[in-house]
Amino acid sequence: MTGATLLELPEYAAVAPAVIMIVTALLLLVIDSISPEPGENDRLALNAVAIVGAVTALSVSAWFLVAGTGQTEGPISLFEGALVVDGMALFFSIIVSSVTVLVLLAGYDYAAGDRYQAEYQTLVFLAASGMILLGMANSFVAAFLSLELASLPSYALVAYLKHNRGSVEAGLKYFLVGALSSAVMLYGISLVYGVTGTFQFAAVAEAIADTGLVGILGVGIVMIVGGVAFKTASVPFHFWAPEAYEGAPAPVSAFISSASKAAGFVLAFRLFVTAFPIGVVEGVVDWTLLFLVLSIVTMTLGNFAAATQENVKRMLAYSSVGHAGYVLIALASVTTGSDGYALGAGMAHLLVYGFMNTGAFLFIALTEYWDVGRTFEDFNGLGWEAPVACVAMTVFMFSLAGLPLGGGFVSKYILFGAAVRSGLWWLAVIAAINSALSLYYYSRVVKAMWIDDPEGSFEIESYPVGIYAAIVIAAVVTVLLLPGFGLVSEHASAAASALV
Amino acid sequence: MAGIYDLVPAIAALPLASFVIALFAGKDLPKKGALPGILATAGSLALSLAVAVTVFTTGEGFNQNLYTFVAGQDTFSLHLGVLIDPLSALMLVIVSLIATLVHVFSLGYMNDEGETGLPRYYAGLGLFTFSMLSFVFANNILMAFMFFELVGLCSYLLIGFWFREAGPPSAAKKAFLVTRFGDYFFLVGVVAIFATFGTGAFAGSESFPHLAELALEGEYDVNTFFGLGEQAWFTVLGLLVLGGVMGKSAQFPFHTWLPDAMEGPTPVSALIHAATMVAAGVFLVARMYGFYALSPTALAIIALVGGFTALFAATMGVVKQELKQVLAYSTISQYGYMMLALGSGGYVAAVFHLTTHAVFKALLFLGAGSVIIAMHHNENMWDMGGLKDKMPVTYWTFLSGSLALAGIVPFAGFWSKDEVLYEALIHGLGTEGGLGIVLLAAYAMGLLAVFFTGFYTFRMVYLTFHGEPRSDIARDPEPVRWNVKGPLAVLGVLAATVGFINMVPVKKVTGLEIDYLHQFLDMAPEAYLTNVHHYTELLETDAFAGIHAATPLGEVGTVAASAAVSLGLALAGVLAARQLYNAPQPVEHTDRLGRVKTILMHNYYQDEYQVWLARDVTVPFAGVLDTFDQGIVDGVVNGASSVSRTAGRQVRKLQTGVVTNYAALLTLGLVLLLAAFAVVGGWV
Repeated sequence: MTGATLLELPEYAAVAPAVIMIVTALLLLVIDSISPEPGENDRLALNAVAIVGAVTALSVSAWFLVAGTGQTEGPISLFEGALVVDGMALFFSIIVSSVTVLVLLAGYDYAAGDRYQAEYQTLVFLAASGMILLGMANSFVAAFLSLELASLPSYALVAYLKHNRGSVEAGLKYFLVGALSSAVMLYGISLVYGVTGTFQFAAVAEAIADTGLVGILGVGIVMIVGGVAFKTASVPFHFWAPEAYEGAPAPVSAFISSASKAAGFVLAFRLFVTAFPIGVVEGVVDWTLLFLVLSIVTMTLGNFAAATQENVKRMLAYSSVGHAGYVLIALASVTTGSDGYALGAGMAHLLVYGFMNTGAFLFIALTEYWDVGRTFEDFNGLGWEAPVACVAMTVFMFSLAGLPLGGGFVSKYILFGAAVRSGLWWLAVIAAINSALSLYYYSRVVKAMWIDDPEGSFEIESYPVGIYAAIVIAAVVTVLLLPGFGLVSEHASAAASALV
Repeated sequence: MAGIYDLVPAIAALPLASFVIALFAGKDLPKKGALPGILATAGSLALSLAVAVTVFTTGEGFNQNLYTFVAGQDTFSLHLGVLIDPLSALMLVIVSLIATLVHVFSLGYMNDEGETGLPRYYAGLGLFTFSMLSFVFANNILMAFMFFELVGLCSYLLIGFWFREAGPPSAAKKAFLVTRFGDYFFLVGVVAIFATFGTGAFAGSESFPHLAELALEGEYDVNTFFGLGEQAWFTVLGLLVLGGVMGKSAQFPFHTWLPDAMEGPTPVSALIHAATMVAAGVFLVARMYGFYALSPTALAIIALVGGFTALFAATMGVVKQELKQVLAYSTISQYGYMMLALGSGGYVAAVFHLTTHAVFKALLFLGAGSVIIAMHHNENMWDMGGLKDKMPVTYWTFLSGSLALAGIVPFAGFWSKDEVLYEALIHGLGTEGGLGIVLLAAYAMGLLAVFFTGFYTFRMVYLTFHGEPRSDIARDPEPVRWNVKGPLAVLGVLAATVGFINMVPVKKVTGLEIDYLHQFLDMAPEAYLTNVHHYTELLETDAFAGIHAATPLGEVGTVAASAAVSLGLALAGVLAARQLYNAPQPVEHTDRLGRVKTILMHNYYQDEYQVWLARDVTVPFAGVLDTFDQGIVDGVVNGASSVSRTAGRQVRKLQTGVVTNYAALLTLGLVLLLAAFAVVGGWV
């Protein structure tokens, strides 16, 4: 049935998920300009439009993916090959729009009574559209523009609590590090352009096959890796992450650490597979080795730093760095002539991660809403006050650690399995050791919530509907991804295989 | 009649239903779950008989996978399935018959005695029967293993039924642990069989015994491991599975759990010994006999273990004081005979002895149960005596069982035991090399055990039923009801007659084709490769087992001589027992054995050495491992965590909060990467 419908749609309809995001952002601005001082009704209208917009983007992405858009008849190439819509673009569009839905649901309460709610939502939508476009980018220009479209609203979002020193400081730091990273990447792109004379990924791959300028090309590639590392919060471009995640409002932290990271990876996957195929650039720069080094350093540093934190949100920030390290395994495991197994594993992990990590940060949003404090000790005994949310948080923590309570177990398992398949069994061992270490700090949260006695009493006055809904949805999906993982990995590996 | 095979799963499902009913509704039912159990097992019996008759009349079998629980992609799949051939059909009848009678008997032994916890008891019996029946019709070794384990679990639950007393829980644990030790090897064997052949099927041209046969003929490639040749590797596989067999069938040195298992209720002992737990081991060897027939080494070990166990257990049975203890050692000894038969190429003889033994051992246990009811649960034979006149039904049926056990013509045990020994003898004589000598040695031990069997059996009979009553209870025993006498009568008649299904000596002498069991087992469909002539072919192929038969006195002469020798020894044993113990006031003669008595009473210190192994070898070894774990492994882990915390703090120091530092570090990192890859990539 869908096949028939699709035939009637023009090709450019394939970018619909991104367009829906942008249109919703503009719509929100229109509503806001009509009624700049929002009352209760406007708040409902704003949230309704926002959530409908995000859900529509999610539904359209899912529909396209299932219907086979850009998959059954090959990728849909648009704007002279600047954008491409295929299974991977749609898969990441689903991740980004799912996280957007959850974050907006939580924002219903978190930003309630705030004058600038429309701006907040608009910025989220603009960033989300940038991230979706990043997944579709097929040339360096499109990639860089999308990257900036995703990054600039993110800086503003981090600094959104503009009377909060932490938020503003975090926003500034994020911006400065981001600007530096963008500059590095742009310089890299210009070097690659200098060598190849083209921006289009596939054309770059053809051009570098017979170039003599290996030194310039190599510097360019490493610098582009730097840009990717910034977006994915990988070492050594990770410094902004703990600060930004901690200072930003928790829903924004959730958004950046889940969706933005996924967007960074989709760019990396497409870029390095189509523009710099390992078979072609192996002699210049063995980027699998580069990602291997980054993967080990990132996961180890992230996990070790997370283990020593006293602040739960900061712990999550470092754990997010650690997870970037796990996903880098997917890139490190790409070998000449390999199938899409490793990339598919990375994509599937990012999807699961999108739910469990967003859920965890939204739980922090809940505690911020209640003002219970930020350290592990402040969570003591919370499980008996807010059992539903704490059960959900338990699911997130164990799933992040890789226990079979949620999809995190399977996705980590096949990710490490991908490393073993590529002969990097010792990388899988390092990752497993890191996972074991991560169980320590994740279970500290669980222990605090359920086992330790509270020091004082909690003053919980209300149970916000929006945040609760978002947390429960995230938890249910995380759990369902355990039995339903086959469906995800099927699409992920199909999309990855189409790319390779 | 093909439809009957569709009902085969119901044979096992009925007792499973009774298990569920007894477990959840047992306490509200009039007999606490006994009635659903009796109905279910009787239904299983009826279906089993129908299946057996169908196999007998049509000569067709049934071999089908019913459920795939792991579907392998590019590799093997794991199934549950049904295999019905004469062997499994026969075993289904035996198991469901004994289970039915045990259920009926339990009415008298448990309900009438006012035991508590009956729903648990009947639930256990139901699950036990279900497990064993499923094990019997399993069509692959993994399914067999699963139900083999379930059988072990059920015996644990039932042996420990009286868990509030000291003995039963300990005995249950021992049974569980000892058999589990054997099952480790079995499990490894199952995995290894799948790894080697990619299938665990028992029957058919795709089955692992047949693939092994083809591999030895060089027509099929299998994976062998550790650089072993194919035959050596198959021997290893066979021996691994044999570990489970020896545990379950209580073969030396894994027999120690069985005498202790007498702590369970007597009907349970009957079920365990006659038809389920202990029989499972021997049945498994018979089930995959086509595999063992390929390996002379495995056969030699089976025969030797069997012959040794037969003799070894029989000597211990001679000095026991308690009725059920004597029966326990006789069980070990009789399963030794079955192993002896299997090891020496007597597949039919083994199945025959399995059949007759199931009948007469169930009879003896139920008879002992009847005596125990009468004696108010005093089991010491020295307190009995003179029960012959007080309980005639029990006496005459018990006598029938005893004659069968001792191997006196024409009772069932004579025919089967004689055939076992005959097979061992002729194959021992006919086979060349070490295997022939091993078979003859095993035969000699089995033959010697005949004397002891006759002796301890009739010592038991005389002490229990003859002479003057030696205690007040024995003078006025409690009467037993129909539900005890009924099963005894059925089994008593069977114990006298069931041997007629395979009278080989009569066949050889008269030339009449009356070896019905042999013919029945030979009716397995050709395609299954589980029929007798296929096994004979394998055994006689020199590339495989290379076992041949020789009859130096001619067929008739050899069979007659063999029968005469074993009957003579059995009679000698019986007469010796009569001489010593058939007196109004018999006295203990065991002191005349001197130090031998001490050794026998202590069961050759088997328990002691196993306890020593556990306590003085395993525990210190575990202690060393514990120290290693605590000191070194945990030390490393603790060290790692403290190192990681310290490292983490250092990492934290990097995160200064000053953004210019970040920019510097970031740039530095990039430069380092650039420099490193410039060198690696050879750009400079």
